[in-house]
Amino acid sequence: MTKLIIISHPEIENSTVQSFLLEGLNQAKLDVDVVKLDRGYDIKELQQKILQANEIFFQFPLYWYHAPSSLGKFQEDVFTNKFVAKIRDANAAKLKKLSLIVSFSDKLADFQAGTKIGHSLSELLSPYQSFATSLGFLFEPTFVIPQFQYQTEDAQQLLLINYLQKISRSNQSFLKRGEWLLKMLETQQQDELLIDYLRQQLAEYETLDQTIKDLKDGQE
Amino acid sequence: MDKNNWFSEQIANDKATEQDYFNRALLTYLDFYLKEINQRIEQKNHQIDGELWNHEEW
Repeated sequence: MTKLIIISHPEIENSTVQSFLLEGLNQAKLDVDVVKLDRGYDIKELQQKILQANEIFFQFPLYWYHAPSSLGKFQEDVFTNKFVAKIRDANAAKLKKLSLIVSFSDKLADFQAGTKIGHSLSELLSPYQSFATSLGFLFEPTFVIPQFQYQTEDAQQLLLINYLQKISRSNQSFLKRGEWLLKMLETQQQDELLIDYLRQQLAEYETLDQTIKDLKDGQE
Repeated sequence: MDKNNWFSEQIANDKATEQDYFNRALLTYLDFYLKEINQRIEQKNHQIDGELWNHEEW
C-alpha cells in the first residue's frame, strides 16, 4: 500500500512539530513518500505520485484557521480537470483515502460553538472533506496536534506513537494498535520479558473478545 | 506485586537507561497500553460472567 504525505509549511526547517514527526517517521522506518510543498515540486511528478498512492495525508499547521497558502496553490496546480478525470478512473479500481494531520496552538476545546473560535475543527476543515468527496476519495478522521509545545514529554511521546499508527493504519482497533506495538518492540529489540508479557496479554484479549462474540452469536 | 506495578516498574527502569527517543516513546506507549489492556481484560471477564454490560462495545 503506497502512502504519500504532503506537507505544507512555509518554514519547515524551523518547525518543531514537523521536525518531530519527520524524525519519528524516519526512526520507525515507515514506507512513506514525503513531499514538502514549500521546497517546490514538479506538477507531473506529483500527479504521478498521487495516482500511485492509496493513502494521502495533507499535513499542515493551522494559520488563522486554514492551511498555509502552499496547500491551496498545490490543489490548483495539480488537480486540473484532466488529472481529476484520471483520478476518478483510478478510484474506480481502488478507493483512495485522504486524511489531514493538523497542528495548532489553540486549545482543542476552543473548537466548538460558544467559545472564542466558535466553530468545530470539522467545520473549519470541511473544504478538504468536499475536496476529497468530489474526487471520490474516502475522507478519514483528522489527526490533531493541539498545543504541542505545552505538552509534557510523555504526552509528546504518546502523540508520536499515535501519529505513526495513524500513518501505518494500525489505529483501526485496539488489537491492531497492540500488534503494531509488539512488532515495533521486537524490531527495536526491546526487553524480552515485556514483549512476552504484551504478547500474552494480546492473546488473552483476543480470546476473550472471540468468546464474547460467540456468546452474542449464540444469543441471536 | 500487582501485575500493573510490576510492568510499570520494568518499563520505568528500561526508560531510565534508554538513550534513543523513539524507544523511550515506545516504552511510554507500552506502559499506557498495558494498563488499558489489563483493564479491558478484567471488564471482558466480568462481561462473560454476566456481571457487566459493555456499553462501549469494546
